[in-house]
Amino acid sequence: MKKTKTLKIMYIVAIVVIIAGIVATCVWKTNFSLLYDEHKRIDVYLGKDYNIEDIKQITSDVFAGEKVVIQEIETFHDSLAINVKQVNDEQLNSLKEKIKTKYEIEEIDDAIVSTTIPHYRIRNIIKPYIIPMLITTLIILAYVAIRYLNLGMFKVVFTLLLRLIVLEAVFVSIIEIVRIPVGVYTIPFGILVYILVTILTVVGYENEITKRKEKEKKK
Amino acid sequence: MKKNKLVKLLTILIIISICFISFAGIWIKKQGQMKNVLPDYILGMNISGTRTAKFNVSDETEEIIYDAEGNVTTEGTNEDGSLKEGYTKEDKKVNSEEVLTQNNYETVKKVMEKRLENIGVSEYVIRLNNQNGEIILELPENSNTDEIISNLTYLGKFEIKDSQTDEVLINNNDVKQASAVYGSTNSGTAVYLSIEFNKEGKEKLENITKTYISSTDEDGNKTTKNISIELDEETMLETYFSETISNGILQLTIGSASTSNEEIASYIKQANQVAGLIDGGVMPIHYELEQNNYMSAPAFEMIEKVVLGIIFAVVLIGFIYWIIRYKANGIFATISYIGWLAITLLVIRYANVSISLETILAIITLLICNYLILQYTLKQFTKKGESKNGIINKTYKRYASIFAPIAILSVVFTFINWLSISSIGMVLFWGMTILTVYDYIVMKILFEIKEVKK
Repeated sequence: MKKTKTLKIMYIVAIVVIIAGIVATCVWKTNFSLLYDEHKRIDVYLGKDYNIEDIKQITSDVFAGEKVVIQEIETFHDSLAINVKQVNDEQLNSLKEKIKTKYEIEEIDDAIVSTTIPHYRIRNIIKPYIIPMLITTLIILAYVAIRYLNLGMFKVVFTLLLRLIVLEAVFVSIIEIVRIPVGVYTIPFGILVYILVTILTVVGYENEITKRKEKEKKK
Repeated sequence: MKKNKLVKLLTILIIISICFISFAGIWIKKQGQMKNVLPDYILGMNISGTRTAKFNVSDETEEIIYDAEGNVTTEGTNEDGSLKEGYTKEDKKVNSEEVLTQNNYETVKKVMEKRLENIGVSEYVIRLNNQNGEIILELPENSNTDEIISNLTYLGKFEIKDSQTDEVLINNNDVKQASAVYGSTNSGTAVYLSIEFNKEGKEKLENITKTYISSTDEDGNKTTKNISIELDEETMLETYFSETISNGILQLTIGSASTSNEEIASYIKQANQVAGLIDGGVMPIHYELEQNNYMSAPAFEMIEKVVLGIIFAVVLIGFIYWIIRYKANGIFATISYIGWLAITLLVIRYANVSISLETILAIITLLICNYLILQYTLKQFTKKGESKNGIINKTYKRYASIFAPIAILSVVFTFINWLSISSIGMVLFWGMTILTVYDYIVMKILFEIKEVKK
């Protein structure tokens, strides 16, 4: 009785979170991580060895308070890419000036090139995972239906499916509400949630079977 | 009793040795340098870096010469390079303003994606700038990357033309699919580009093979009607047909080799590339490669380091709990847990599994699974009235059911042609397999029922 009540409360909380998630999605745009969102990539060709700490210092001066991701271009350690959300002329000129002074580059306009990197679409992130996840879910549901036939085939299948849908929806909603940046970790974490929900549900089924067996033994 | 202790000691020594080998490697001096004998981990795109190519809409112009009647001609110049009388010349952009639409940009992106899939690229990121059509492609760095990138600038326009009149007899619209095939011949293995045509194309091909033949008239004069097979207006082959093709499949020999596997592989690669171009569709816009650089992956950020630190701390707390709660069995469980991780990482090295951020999360899943199974066993070992074998069998029976969904996921994912997905599958598969065998052996040898019962 107590368990059913807790379960009900959990489902109500989940529904509230999902509704809040839907509202958040409608109100705000999904927050993407810098490299997944549309951003500016400033390629800097120094032609000489550089110290990453110096570059970090320069970028933190120029793009104060903004998120900056630095990547190395090629493997010669003489050129790099600075990724930032936006860059205005003032910032670009300041960056050029600082790099020119630090690394004594004469043709600074040729050495620094800015490119707009388009955003990576959610559907492109999800697409490769749709078919494998569908196949996996179908096989797992079939397995659960057969393995826990004694607990009621439809009950076990429905419970697992419901939990998977609800908890994945909660996971997405939390991302939207808390504005966690969607990026390289989003899908793997989604899969981790999927695995954990499946395992915990199956553990529940196993415990229920054990309890039933113990009851039968006592009788 | 003594024998039992000796076996335990030996097992622990073996586990510790495996840990050293897996985590530190086996270093030997080779040509004056210390080298690790173990194969390196294969790192995925989001850990090692990517080849990043930028494709721009071409703004090049081409020279078009018209004859006196206004028809386009390729033979409009004199020997000295000047125009023939009455002929006119025009510089025309390869991409007219009308083709530069968002729809066409999307089509180009889709064609590129299809080509990448056709040639078996198992991981990539493609981004399109809808405003100017710029395409940024990120690929894993390997020996094929340059070739793959160079293939993407082709339009993919496949045509079979009349050699004399330049009349287009068949084009991409008539093609159902193209693929590379190979078969044995008297001289060795021959590699073909096989082009299968759709219903309309099949009829057209049959007519072509009846028309474009070599024939001899009553006077013994031989006449040959040739076709030219072109890709992006470059002639691949000029030929005629000696027999009618009515099955709608045209096979073009790419090459043959008697013994060299490398040569055969190279022909197959060529055939696959051309097939990929034909099969991928035609790009409505000319593109050119503007940038092609290797970009390293960004360094781990503070938040990622903190998360890894938390995971490490949780595992450590788990070990401390085991040791305090289950004494000797807890110590053995800790050692075996680290040993299992070492073996799994060793197998990942040898199984050529690519390590990416996605696979790290698969490893975390495995860490949780192994913790659950060992924790359950340790708890069972504290209960009175059960034999060691009974506990182990009970644990395995329970967890076989619980972990079956992970086994299903690992097998399905392993067979998916997308590197980060198949890597998750392979890591889970190897991790679960090792866990099943290794935990059984370790539990049998190391765990002791009496010690906890005291």
